Amino acid sequence: MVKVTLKSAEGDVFEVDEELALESLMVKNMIEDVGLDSAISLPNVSSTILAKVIEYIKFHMDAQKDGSKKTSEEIKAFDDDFVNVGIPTLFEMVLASNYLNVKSLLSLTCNTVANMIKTKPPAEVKEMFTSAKQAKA
Amino acid sequence: MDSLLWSTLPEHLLERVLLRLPLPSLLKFRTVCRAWRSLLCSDGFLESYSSISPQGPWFFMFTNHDYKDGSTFNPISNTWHHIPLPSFPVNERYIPVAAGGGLICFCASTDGQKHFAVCNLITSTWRKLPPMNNNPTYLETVGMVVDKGTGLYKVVVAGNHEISVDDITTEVYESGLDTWRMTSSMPRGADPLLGTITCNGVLYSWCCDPDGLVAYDTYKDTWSLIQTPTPDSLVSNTILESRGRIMMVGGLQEGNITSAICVWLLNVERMEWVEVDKMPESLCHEFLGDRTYFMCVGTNDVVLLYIGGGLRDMPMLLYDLVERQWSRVSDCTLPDERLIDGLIDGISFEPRLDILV
Repeated sequence: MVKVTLKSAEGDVFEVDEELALESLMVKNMIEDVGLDSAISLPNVSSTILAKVIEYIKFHMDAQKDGSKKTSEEIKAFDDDFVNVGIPTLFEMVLASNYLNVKSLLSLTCNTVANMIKTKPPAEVKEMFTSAKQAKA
Repeated sequence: MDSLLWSTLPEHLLERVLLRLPLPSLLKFRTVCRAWRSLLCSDGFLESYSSISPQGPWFFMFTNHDYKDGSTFNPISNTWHHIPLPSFPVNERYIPVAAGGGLICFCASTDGQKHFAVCNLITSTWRKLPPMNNNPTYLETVGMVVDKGTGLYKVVVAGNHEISVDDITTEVYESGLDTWRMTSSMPRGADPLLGTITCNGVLYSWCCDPDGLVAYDTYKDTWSLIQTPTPDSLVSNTILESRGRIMMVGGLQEGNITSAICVWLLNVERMEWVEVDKMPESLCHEFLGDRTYFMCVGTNDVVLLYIGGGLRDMPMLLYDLVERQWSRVSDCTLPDERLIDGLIDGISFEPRLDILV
């Protein structure tokens, strides 16, 4: 199995299967452009978040493989648990899944944010999403 | 400080988040700020929203005998919303006669004239249609079809001028041209009942004689009769469309009581109703008690069964035409003042923000 080396913002190195790395369309494009000889540098993704993203892709790749005994309930339970994180981590995961271009993770994290705000009153949402911009203005 | 993070979220990601909100939240968040309002109301956003988050059917239920007020039931979240009716002229009583693709067609009778209006309840917009060429005295059937690609719609009205005259004329309104045009006459003998469904561009409504359906092809502007005998003891039957198939929900009477509620599928090769499901006996008894009649309304695979005029203590059921599952609707959360006359009548529609009247 061909390995790909990913380098996080802190410079930590993650060695993963090529198959897994290709799930990130951004990494896939990088491999096509520069090949597999050197590590792929991901300056926008921290080690903690990169480890999470790898964990997510690995679980879903295994779940999709023939012979996987994972039920849709188990997959849902994994996803629910995966995004049951603090606000800063969730925020970083939205940015990272967008940067790395992992469509299913981007959907999952954006859905989580939508669920988090859907019952909030507009005033509270306004404070959350616009206060800093207005302060800057 | 955590919450401040979100204000640094790039706009295209914020849009992705907002695209995943349920419709009531989306409407509510238009008041967050000017930037959100213009984003949430933009054509591009609305177009993406209807493809990413298709909303199941909603049910607009009149709770007032004058048809002046009602509330909307959202079966996905199992919640009731009070969405006001459009501000129709106060001296005219507009009653819903057809729905399709996010729009509802209302009709009012004043001074022997029929007036039609098309509205989108979600965007609270409505438009009165121009007068018909040959205004009918009695309506036989009204249907509407909406082209999902272009948003253009047609309203088909069949009616006659004297109840004794069996020449039923048809006029079709086309929103793209904003005019009515006369088309073919409805076949003699057909005695259709108001209430149509649309299936692959063809409108269907019940027909008593012959026992079956009367169909209007909106592409060819032609009528046809379909003989499909229904069970003898059928009551409270409603036709429904589900994924290109014609279905029927109705009750079967034994003596004077309705002993079963069944679901049929129209086998189009043999033109026969084939029973595909039956409500469990205990649920049927719980729903009907000793009543004979019930009401049924549905679109986009979901059917709401209710007791006409029923108040909050009357059971309501949902039926999924695809999963073939019955479920109870939990207690109505509407305040008493919104339920003065109980649930009078209802119409189901697709909540769409992007469809213009």
